[in-house]
Formats: sequence, structure tokens, C-alpha cells
Amino acid sequence: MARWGLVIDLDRCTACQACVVACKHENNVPFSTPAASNSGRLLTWIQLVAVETRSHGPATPMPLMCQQCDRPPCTDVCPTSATYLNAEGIVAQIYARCIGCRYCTNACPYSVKLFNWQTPAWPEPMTALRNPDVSVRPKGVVEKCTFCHHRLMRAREQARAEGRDLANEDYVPACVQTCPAEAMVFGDLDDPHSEASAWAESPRAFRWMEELGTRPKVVYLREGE
Amino acid sequence: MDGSFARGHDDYEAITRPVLTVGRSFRRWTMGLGAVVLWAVFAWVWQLWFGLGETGLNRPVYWGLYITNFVFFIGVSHAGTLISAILRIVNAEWRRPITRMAEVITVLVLFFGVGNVLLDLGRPDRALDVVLHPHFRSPLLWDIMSIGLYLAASSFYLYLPLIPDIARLRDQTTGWRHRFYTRLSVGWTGTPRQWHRLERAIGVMAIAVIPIAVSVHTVVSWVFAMTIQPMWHSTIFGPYFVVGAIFSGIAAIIIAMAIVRKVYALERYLQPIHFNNLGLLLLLMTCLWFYFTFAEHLTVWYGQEPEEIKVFNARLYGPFAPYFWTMVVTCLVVPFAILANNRTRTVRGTVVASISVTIGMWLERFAIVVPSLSNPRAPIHTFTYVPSWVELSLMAGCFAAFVLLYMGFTKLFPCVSIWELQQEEASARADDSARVEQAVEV
Amino acid sequence: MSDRLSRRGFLFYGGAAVMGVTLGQLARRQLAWADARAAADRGLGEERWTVSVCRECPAACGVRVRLIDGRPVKLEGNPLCPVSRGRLCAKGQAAIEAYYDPDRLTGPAKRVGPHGTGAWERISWQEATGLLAGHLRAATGRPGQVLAVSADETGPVADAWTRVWRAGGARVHQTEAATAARLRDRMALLTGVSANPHFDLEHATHVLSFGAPLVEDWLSPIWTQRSFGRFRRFDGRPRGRLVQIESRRSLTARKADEWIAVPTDRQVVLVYGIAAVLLRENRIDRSALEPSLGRLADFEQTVTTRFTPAAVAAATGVPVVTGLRLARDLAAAARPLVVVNADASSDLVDAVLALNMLLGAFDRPGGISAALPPAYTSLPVDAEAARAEGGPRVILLRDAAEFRSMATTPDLLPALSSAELVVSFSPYLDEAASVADLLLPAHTPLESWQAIVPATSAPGQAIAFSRPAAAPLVETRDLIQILKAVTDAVAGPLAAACPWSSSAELVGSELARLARIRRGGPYASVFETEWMRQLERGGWWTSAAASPEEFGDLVTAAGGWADPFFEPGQVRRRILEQGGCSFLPPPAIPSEPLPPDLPRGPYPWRLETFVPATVNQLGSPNQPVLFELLGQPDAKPWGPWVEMSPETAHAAGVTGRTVVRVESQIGGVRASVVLVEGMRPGGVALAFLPALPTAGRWAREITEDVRGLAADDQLRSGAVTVRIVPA
Ligand SMILES: Nc1nc2c(c(=O)[nH]1)N[C@H]1C(S)=C(S)[C@@H](COP(=O)(O)OP(=O)(O)OC[C@H]3O[C@@H](n4cnc5c(=O)[nH]c(N)nc54)[C@H](O)[C@@H]3O)O[C@H]1N2
Ligand SMILES: Nc1nc2c(c(=O)[nH]1)N[C@H]1C(S)=C(S)[C@@H](COP(=O)(O)OP(=O)(O)OC[C@H]3O[C@@H](n4cnc5c(=O)[nH]c(N)nc54)[C@H](O)[C@@H]3O)O[C@H]1N2
Ligand code: SF4
Ligand code: SF4
Ligand code: SF4
Ligand code: SF4
Ligand code: SF4
Ligand SMILES: [Mo]
Repeated sequence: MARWGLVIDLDRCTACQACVVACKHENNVPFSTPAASNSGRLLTWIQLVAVETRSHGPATPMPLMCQQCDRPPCTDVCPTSATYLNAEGIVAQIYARCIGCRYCTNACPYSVKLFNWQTPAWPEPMTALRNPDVSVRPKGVVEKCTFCHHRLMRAREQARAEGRDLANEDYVPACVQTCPAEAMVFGDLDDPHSEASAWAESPRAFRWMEELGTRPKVVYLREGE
Repeated sequence: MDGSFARGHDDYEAITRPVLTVGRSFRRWTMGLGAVVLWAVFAWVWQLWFGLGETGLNRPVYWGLYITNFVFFIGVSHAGTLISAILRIVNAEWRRPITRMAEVITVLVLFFGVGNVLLDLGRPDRALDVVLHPHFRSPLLWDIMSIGLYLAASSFYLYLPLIPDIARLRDQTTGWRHRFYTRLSVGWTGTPRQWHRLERAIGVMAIAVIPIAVSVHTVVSWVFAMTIQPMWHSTIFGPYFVVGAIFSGIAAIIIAMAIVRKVYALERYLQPIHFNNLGLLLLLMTCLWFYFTFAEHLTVWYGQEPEEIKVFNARLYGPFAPYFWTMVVTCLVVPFAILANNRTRTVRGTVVASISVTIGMWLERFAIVVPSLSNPRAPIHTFTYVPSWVELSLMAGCFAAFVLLYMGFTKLFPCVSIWELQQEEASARADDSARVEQAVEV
Repeated sequence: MSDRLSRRGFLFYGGAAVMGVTLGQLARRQLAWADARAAADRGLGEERWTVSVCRECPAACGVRVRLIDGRPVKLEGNPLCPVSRGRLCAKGQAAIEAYYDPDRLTGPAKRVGPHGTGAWERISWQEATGLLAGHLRAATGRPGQVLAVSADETGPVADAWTRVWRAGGARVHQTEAATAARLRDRMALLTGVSANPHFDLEHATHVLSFGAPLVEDWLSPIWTQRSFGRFRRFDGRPRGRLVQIESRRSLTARKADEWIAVPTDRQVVLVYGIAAVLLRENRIDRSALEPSLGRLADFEQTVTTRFTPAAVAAATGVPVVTGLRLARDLAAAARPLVVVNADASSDLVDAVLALNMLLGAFDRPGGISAALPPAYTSLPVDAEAARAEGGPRVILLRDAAEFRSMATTPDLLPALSSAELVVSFSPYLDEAASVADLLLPAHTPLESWQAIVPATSAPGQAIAFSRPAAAPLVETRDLIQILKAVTDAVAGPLAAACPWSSSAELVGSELARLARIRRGGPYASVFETEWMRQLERGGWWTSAAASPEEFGDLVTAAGGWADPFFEPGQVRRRILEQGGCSFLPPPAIPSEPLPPDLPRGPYPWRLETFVPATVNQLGSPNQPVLFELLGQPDAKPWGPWVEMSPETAHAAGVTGRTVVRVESQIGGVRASVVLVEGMRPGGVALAFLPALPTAGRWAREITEDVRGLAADDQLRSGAVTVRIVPA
């Protein structure tokens, strides 16, 4: 079984936020308003955070999404298993089972889980903009980056239809796809031939907050020499 | 134990009279509190309709007033059952007039503890998923189990000693009350066999209920401690929360006692000695509570672990300093100053100390829940949490409903255990009145 | 008595409980319904992919459009496009939102109330084109009576616009484009080659940048970002080192290995200071400069005597040792490159190009080369919108002709108020449209036929072509169709200048021309493009197309036409031919001292404004997601932010991440504070974000208008001072 992972080279990343927009559209994450944003209700599955990654110089803007922990602190605490580590190693959300207790949001040390404070709304005709592959979350449930899991399902269908095995290149999340600086690669971290595992071997590689024992599958490559 | 009601009847009239009559001020209070509850129901429907966006909660402060109230109410619930059970086991005679009042607090307040979790759910309609798809690694599920067990046990523990008193009321009343009490008294006639069974059952329950009660607040603390969030992930949270719970529980009993005593003119039964003894217990808990709080904060401060110290600073010097220092004053300075002094450990003094502790313990819960969330490890944008009108209304509603239900209880059942007083009097007559003095040492 | 009352009480409690349960049930049903509704949307439609061209900036990246039942749901980069190579920037990703803008104009309209009151009447296309034709008929005859203004754009569609109005005697003006145009002109002066300079950022090992927003929006943003990524890290190549010289700490400055804050107008001194060190220490390759030696001597003389280390340090605030180090690092690098922001002053561009010349950067990998003469030369337009006697009677505003662009055309604003008829072709009720008398909304990019030359691309040539990717959402029209209807109604030379009945025809004729010139081919993958380059080098031209029509189909299906052939060494050859390059005389060092860093007077801080990298120059009013990106990760989104040094913040009594008011003599805006270590304390930098109250629901949410602080030209020139007041 593949162990899907994402490697982000902070030395290449230009903090352009194309990934942020791509994810919003791909995953039907609703827009905010200034009021929502000012009260801490802006929803985004991926965002820039400023993290000190070097010994000098300003903090590095770092794209942050669910780190898809192999030992996720968020799933342990869920009373209904509405969030769980699935067989593919992706930490998934079952929206229909989530009771909205927000225990997982508080247990995630990366603060990447989001809560639907109200029913998401798109003004007409913007409803047509929504991706039919991804369900629209009702109010009251928790959501987060899924590694574009629907793309994996599509890629697998495609590979099966073509009668071949799933290759690394078949499955590319929306954020990785758009990255203009080619700062992200996605693939099987256990496959020694994948680009992702090669990048993850870099001496610059670090897993953010791995000291907490979360074993993230998002790997960052440190900025600088 | 001949169960001779005839003699006691007149003696305990002061206790049964308020049960069977309803005064004007009772009605006024009912109306006033009912209005608050109705308003809260409106706020709740509002929240159900528009979602939790109507609260002041945000990312990353995903928990606020509701969870604070949850922890607070569950804490207060330790009032009764635990304290009365302990006192029963150690056979402290002075406990007799106060156990009932304490146990009622436990049972009622548990509902509000659980209720606040329901208020906090984004999808209360799916609350049953917890049963349908339980995930046993979640401390929330442990909570549900231990609180459920505690609720059952403490209800039973409240009910058992009520039976003889219900039977007494059954014999005094007619109409629907008579039918109601007949059903509840489950055929109690006061035969020695029944007495024997009852006392054994109470004895067993008193022992059983203690570990359950301890587990409840331990598990509540684990909801926080099992995460790896700064200043939640603490090994002493279990005992710390249990101590805090008993602390706030005793304070709640004292307040309830003072009110019941005043409103129903029960000065004869609820004497300064009871306030004195409970006051001493409260003093003990003040010291214990301070010991834990100090230990918890000292280790964090000494360690200077960057993520923990962020929360520590926010709590002691930052935006949460007003809450924290008010808590220190109300949970330590005020009760200690009042209760450590014989002259101020009066009825009035203990009540003042108790009110102070109750406020302080609520603030403590708030100062545990919110600052950790406000200072997440990830440097995302943070927002000041200001509870919305919905949350404040629901909180007011909870307190009003609690008082209302308590009042309702006093109109259905005697809030002082009559047969236990009888027992005490019987033994006191046989013994010597210095017994009460002895109880002070307990 | 007591019994009765108790019963009433009981009824009361019971009733409340029943009510609670009922309300709870109702709420439960409402929640379940919300869930069901959310799930009902999930029926999968038929999926299809097509191509289009991003028009959010002049880079004209190729996009792939994912369609579900014919409706666009997602944009991705077109991997065949030589500019985007499958990637899109934030604005490109968000462009789809503009198509679905719920506040788009739904069809032609005319103004009914007085200007600016926002009262419009929907009219038919026939009436609308008739109205314009009527005014045009009256205005033709004397030249300059009609003024046509559009955004800077090169390509067949832009030329059709120019040709048509020119035929009617109109002045045709384009809002200034700072894409490589100035760089091209200055390079022509130095080297004699008039072509867009191509900066090979990817293969440079050491880049010294004077204000070039490399990771934000330099020249062709995606191209530059890809180059930046590979410059940093690529397959075993050594990591490229970047030093940014810029007055504010832009994102590029933040990403740089070193950022040195130098006021914009002093940067030219630093460039010559570095050149002086190189010359003095003889760290240049004189053999490569052989043909220019004669002119170099003069240049060397002036530079080394005028730009002494002490003088440069005094004028720029950069310590002498730092200046020396900058120069020596450049000289020591394997492939050094000096780049400059496209909007920079001519002096600065000249200095930077000269420095590159000294470093031997022209015509070498990791240096500067010249693109071939373009396969498409556009019609010249009028440099200025100078008004005729009494001003133009009819003003035609196309697309992005909005107020901020007009600020570069100062005489346009008074002309607007005196004109008889102002027509907007924009599909949105943007700021320009709001002052128009007649609205003729043309299709948005996704609905349009496209034929545009990307502003800057890889060496070689490209023209982006595409069919409409989606059906028109409302009653907008194809631009050429509108022109056709109007010109036919006016008749005469105007009608003759518009032989096409639609953009489809216009694009078709351009494709036919390309098929005839037998160069290049449809956009192709990296591998195929390389193959095509090799073939063309050998003098071969191949095409899979059997006919010009098929050729056209292949090109529109691929998203464009490209000719990758590129002959290096042009610049050197030209320099040899003309016997050396012409170093321009450097300017004098400004005599006045550096602006003070200490606060003075009631408005103590110098204000600098900058366009946030994530919005276009209009402020992207109909792409709400872009507002969420503003100022991330430092500032609060959905509004402007102001950057200042911690010293400045301290002096102003404010702290980071709080909201303050930035006040000039005439106005103020609220902005969130971002503290920047290392910024010069005398100035503050404010994100330029216009409030566009007419432009739709999201634009209305931006209520703070940075333009309220001063006139636009003053803002751009940095002449405004402000104070910072806690909000
Ligand atoms: N996000 C975004 N990208 C765009 C566009 C857009 O609107 N938004 N527009 C596109 C277009 S049309 C163009 S022309 C290009 C323009 O791209 P650029 O030519 O790069 O121009 P700006 O982005 O306006 O300015 C970039 C930086 O130059 C600095 N600067 C200003 N004046 C000077 C100077 O005199 N000297 C030096 N050294 N630095 C100076 C400022 O600090 C500013 O941060 O970008 C294209 N890309
Ligand atoms: N104050 C200030 N003024 C400036 C500048 C500055 O930096 N500051 N920069 C100057 C420069 S360099 C430039 S290039 C100009 C740029 O100014 P503009 O030319 O106005 O460019 P943008 O502001 O980027 O607006 C482009 C918009 O046009 C729309 N659009 C694109 N293609 C089409 C199409 O085919 N049909 C229709 N209907 N709409 C289309 C897009 O949706 C996009 O929203 O501004 C200049 N003016
Ligand atoms: S798209 Fe790529 S370069 Fe841009 S912010 Fe995301 S990771 Fe960084
Ligand atoms: S990053 Fe957070 S949400 Fe994602 S798996 Fe880890 S703990 Fe869970
Ligand atoms: S909010 Fe939903 S997913 Fe998270 S812990 Fe609660 S039930 Fe589980
Ligand atoms: S992997 Fe998919 S869901 Fe996750 S951040 Fe990227 S685009 Fe969003
Ligand atoms: S660089 Fe310009 S043309 Fe390319 S995607 Fe971004 S906005 Fe569109
Ligand atoms: Mo431009």
C-alpha cells in the first residue's frame, strides 16, 4: 500500500498562494466576508503561516495544510470515529457522522481543522462553480485537507479502466498541480523511486512538530543553504 | 427503629410544610426564572437554526462558555454525592441534615453539565452517533460513560434515602400527590426488614459512588490532558480537577444550605455548626486547590517550554490575567482569610467564602479552557473570544433552570432527610450531646 | 389551594418541556434538510476539458478549463503553454470567479439619471449599437473627436480595435504597460538590439535585484516563478543566491538571502557604485568587452571618479564594506545576473544593463539574451490621449480601462466629464463603467475567442489562441460582433475597416496567416518543443496539419501557437557590428542627503504604496478569494495593511497585528500593522487597494480607499507623508 506524502521545498516556494486558491475551488471551500474573517471564521484548508525555519532572517511563509499524521492526535479523540486514519494513510472526515464537538480541532497541534460555523452559501450562479466530486459540507461539522482524496479515487478508476497499476504521476492534488514555482511534489513516500521520497531524503527535510510524535506525511525542506 | 411516625410528625412539620405549600414569593421566583429559561430556549433555537456561528467562538478558540460551564457544572456535581458518601462512611453525625441538599445538587447539575456539551455540539441532532458509532479511544466517550454511570448512581443514591420520607408524605397527602408518593415509595411501610435492606443499600451505594465520582472529574480533566496542547497536557490534571470539583461542590452546598435555611426557616436543623464544619472542609480544599494550582504553574514556569510559557504568560500577564488573578483572589485569598479565622467562620462568613469560591472556580475553568486554545502552537491568526448574547443567554438559562428545578424539588420532597434526623435524635438521646462537639474534629 | 397552584405549575413545566421537544424536533428537521440539500448537489455531470487563455495580467498564460455539463468548475495551467507550463498563479486560479460574478452586467444599458447616481436602463443590443453609431456619425470628420482607450495588449484582437477606430479618425490610446517595454527601449540604446530582453533567471547562480518583484509579478509572473524555483534548486545545480535591493521588504526581499533597504531613487547610485568597484578592482572580463573598449574608457573614468565608496555610502546609506562585498560577490559568481523592476526609472534600467554588460551577462546562460523579432507586430497606438480642440466628443473604454490606469493618462479625467458620450465595453460595472453613458458589455475572457501575444515569454515566439471555453452566461456580446454592428450602422471607411463579422472570423484569418508563414506550430510539450527547435535549427518546418483549417484547429485545441526557434548570440553580434556598445553617461549623485529616518512634523512618515501581489491592478473586485489572500501570513486579510519598522511602530505608539489609521493631510484609511525588521524607520509602506463601490458585492466590502490619501500620481511618486494613529 502506498504511503502518500507531500514534500514542500520552502526554498522554492514563493508564497504566491496559488495553492490556496486551487484548494478552495477544488474542494468547495466557501468564500468568507470581512466580517467572517475578522471574527476568525475564514475557512481555508491550506494557508500560509510564518514559521522560523532558519537561524537568522525573517520567518518563512510556509504553506500549511493537514499534515496527514501517521499518528494523528485528532483521530484518537473523536468520539464517533468521524475522523480516522484510512487504509491509504489519509486522515479522513465522515461529514455525515461528525457531531461537531470540535474536540479534534482542539487536539490537532497544527490547528488545521476547520468548523462550519454556518451553512456554506454561494450566490447564484456561483453554485455551478462547485466541484461535483467533493461534497458540500453542511453547517456544524468539521472539515480539513483530504489530500484531495477524490483525485485518488478518480486516478484509481482511470488506471483500472486502462488496465494498469496506479502510478505516482496519476494522483496529483490540486495545490501541487498549480504551484508555479514547482515547490511541491506529491507521491508515495515508501516508493524509493518516487520524486517525493527522493525529496524527503534531503538533508534539508524536516517534519514540522515531529517531536510531538505525530509522524506527519507532509515534509518541508528548509529554506536557505 | 419502630418507624413511629406519630411522634415525629409534629416535630418535623417545619420540614414538610414547605414541601406541601407554595408561597407568593415562590411563584414570583418561578415566573422570573421561567422567563429567563424561556429566553434561553429562544436563544437555543436561534443557535440551532443559524448554527454555532451565532456564538463568539472562532478558530482557534473552538471551545468557550459552554465547555467552561460543562466542566464547572460537573465539578459542582461533586458536591453532593461524593461529600455525603464520604461523610456517611466516616459516620459524621453532623452530616444528617445536609446530605439530601447536597445530593440533589449533584443530580440536577449533572444534567446541566451534559446539557452544556449538547449546546456546544455543531450537530446536536447527531448526538446519538456517539452510541451508534462509539470510538472508545476518545476521552469524550469515557466521559459519557462515567458521567452516565455517575448520573445513574447518584440518582439512585438520592432516591434511596428519600423512600422513608416519601412514605411519610404519602401518608400525609391526598389527591395527585398521594398517588405520586404512593408510586415512588415502592410500598415502604418501615418494616425492620425494609430498614435493614435500605441501610445496606445505602451503605453499598455510598462506597460505590466514591470511585465513580472521582472517575468523573478525572475523566473530564482527561478531555484536556489527553491532548498534547500546551497547559492541557498535564499529568496532575486528574487529581487537580477532582480537588477543584470537591472545592466548588462544597461551596455550592453551603450556598444552597444557606438559602434553603433562610427561605424555609430551617434554622433549627441547619445550625452554625454545619456551616462551621463545612467551612473547615472548604478551608482544607482551599489549601489543596492552591497546592495543585501552584504546583501546576510552578513546573510550567520553571520549565520555560516555549509553547507552554506562551499560555502561561497569556494567563498570568496577558489578556487572561484579569480572570486568573480574580481567580486567585476568589479561590485563595478570600476563602482562606475568612475560613482560617474562628471569628469569621460564621454562617455569613462561610457563605461569602463559598460565593467567592464558586465564582473563582468558574473563572478557573475558563482560564483553563480558553488561554490554551488562544495560543495554539501553529502561528495562525488568533482572535479574542467574546461570548455572544446567545452563549450568555444560555448560560443564564442554565443557572435559572437549575434553581428552578431545585425549587421544584423542594416542593415535591423534603430537602432535609427526616428519618436520618430521627435516627440521630434517637442516638443522641441515648448518648450524650457532646457528640456534636466531637463531630467538629471529623 | 396549594394543590391547585402546584398543578398549574406542573402544567407550566410540562408545557415548556413539550414546547422544547417540538422546537428541538423542528430544528432537527431543519438540520437534516440542510444535510440533504448539500448531498443533493453531488450528482456527477458530464466532464470535459478545454483550453483558454488567462487574461488577468498581460502574461496570457494558457489554461485548461474543467467543464461539468458545459459549466466551468476549475482552472488549471495548460501544460502545453510555454508560458505557464501547466501552472497558474493565484489570480489565474481565481479568474473563474469573475466569470460567475453575480453582479456582472447582464446586457447593454444606458444611463438615465445624472452621472454617478447609478441609474441605468436595460436596452436592446440593437438600440445600444444604434445609439453609439449615431454619436459616431456626428463625430466623424474632424480628427480627435473620438478617443478609444484600452489596456496594453498585443495581438490580433487589440489590433482590430485599433484599426477600426483609427479608420474613423479616432485617437487610439493604450494605458501604459510596464511589461518589458521600457527594458526593451533602454536595451536598444545600450546594445542596438530592439527586442524584449530575456532574463535567464533559471540558470543564474547569483542574482542582484534592484526592486524586481521576482517572486511576485515580474514581467511574466508564472515564467518568473518557475525560473526562481529552478534558480534556487534544480537537479544538482548549486543553489542560486539572491540579494534584493528594495526600499520595502517585499515578498521577494523576504525570500532573498540578503535584503538591503535603499530608497528607490538612490538605487541607481548603488548600481554605479558597484560598477565602480568592479572597474577599479579590475574584476571585469575586458576581453569580452573588446569592441567597446574605447567607449568603456570614458565610462570607466566617469564612474570610478564620481562613485567613490564614500560618496555611494553617503547617498545610499549602504556601508562601504557592504558595497564592496556586493561587488565582489557578483564578480566571484559563476553566472551573475543583475535584474531590475520593469517600472524602474530609465536611469536605473540603464545602470543595471550597463552593470550586466560589465559582468559579461549578455548572451550567456544565466544572463540576458534578446528575443527574436516578433512574429506579430502590432499597430502603433497614440502615445498620449491628448485632447483635441474642446476635447473628444465620444470616449470608448475597453476592458480594463479603469481609473487607476487612467491616472497614467492625466488628461483623460477632465475629458470624461466634458465628452458627450462615454461608452464602456467592460462586462462589469467597474469604476470606468460607472461614469459611462452607455454600457456595451463584451464577453469575459472565458466566453471569448482569444488571440493575444503573451507579454513576455521564453526565448522564441508565442501567440495564445483559444475558442470560447464556456457559453456566455448573460447577454454579453463578442467584441468584434459589437464593432461590426456599430461600424455597419455608421458605414463609410469604418465599415470597411471591420471586415470580420465575429472574433471567430478574425482569429481564423490570423491562424491562416500563421499557417502560411510556415514557422512554429501548435503549443506542444517540453519534449516536442525541444524537438521542433532542433528541426528548425536544421531549416525544417513540419506540421501535422493537412490544411490551414486543420492547422487552425490544432492551434486552438492546443491553446496557442509557438515558434521555439531562438538564435543565441544576437546581442554580441550586433555589438560587434556597430563597433561596441554605447554606455550612457551616469547621472550625478543627488546632492541632498538621504531622507531623515527620524520622525518630523505633524505627518512624520514618508508613504510608499505597492500593489499586493495577489490582486490585479484593478484590485480584482470580482474574485473574492483573492481578498482572503491579502497580506498573508502577516496581516489580517480583506483589507490593506501597512508595513513599518519596529522603531517606527514604537514611535507611533502602535504594535504589530493591530489595526491603525494611516492619515495624510487629506484623508485616512484603516490598515493592519505588519512589523518589518530592517525597514528604514523614516517610511511606511501601504498596500494599494482601491475601494470600488460599484464593482459588486465583494468589492463593496472593501471600504477603505487608499486613493483617499492623495492623488494617484503623488502616491506613485512617494511624495506623500502620513501619520499613524491607533484605531
Ligand atoms: N499581481 C500582479 N501581477 C502582475 C500585475 C498585477 O497587476 N498584479 N500586472 C502585470 C503587469 S501589467 C506588469 S506591467 C507587471 C509589472 O510588474 P513590475 O514591473 O514588477 O511593477 P510593480 O509590481 O508595479 O512594482 C514592483 C516593485 O517595484 C518597486 N519599485 C517601484 N519603483 C521602483 C524604482 O524606481 N526602482 C526600483 N528598483 N524599484 C521600484 C516597488 O517597490 C514595487 O514593489 O506585472 C504584471 N504582473
Ligand atoms: N496607480 C497605478 N496605476 C497603474 C499601475 C500601477 O501599478 N499603479 N500600473 C499600470 C500598468 S503597468 C498597467 S499594465 C495598467 C494595467 O491596468 P489594466 O489594463 O486595467 O489591467 P488590470 O487592472 O490588471 O485589469 C485587467 C482586467 O481586465 C479583464 N479582462 C482581461 N481580458 C479581458 C477580455 O478579453 N475581455 C474583457 N471584457 N475583460 C478582460 C480581466 O478580467 C481583469 O480583471 O495599469 C497602469 N496603471
Ligand atoms: S503555490 Fe507553490 S509557491 Fe505558491 S505558495 Fe503554494 S507552495 Fe508556495
Ligand atoms: S495535522 Fe492535525 S488534522 Fe491533520 S492528521 Fe495531524 S492532527 Fe489530524
Ligand atoms: S468534531 Fe466531528 S470529527 Fe471532530 S471529534 Fe467531534 S465528531 Fe469527531
Ligand atoms: S492536498 Fe488537496 S485538499 Fe489538501 S491542501 Fe492540497 S488541494 Fe487542498
Ligand atoms: S501570470 Fe498572469 S496570465 Fe498567468 S495565470 Fe497569473 S494572472 Fe493569469
Ligand atoms: Mo503593466
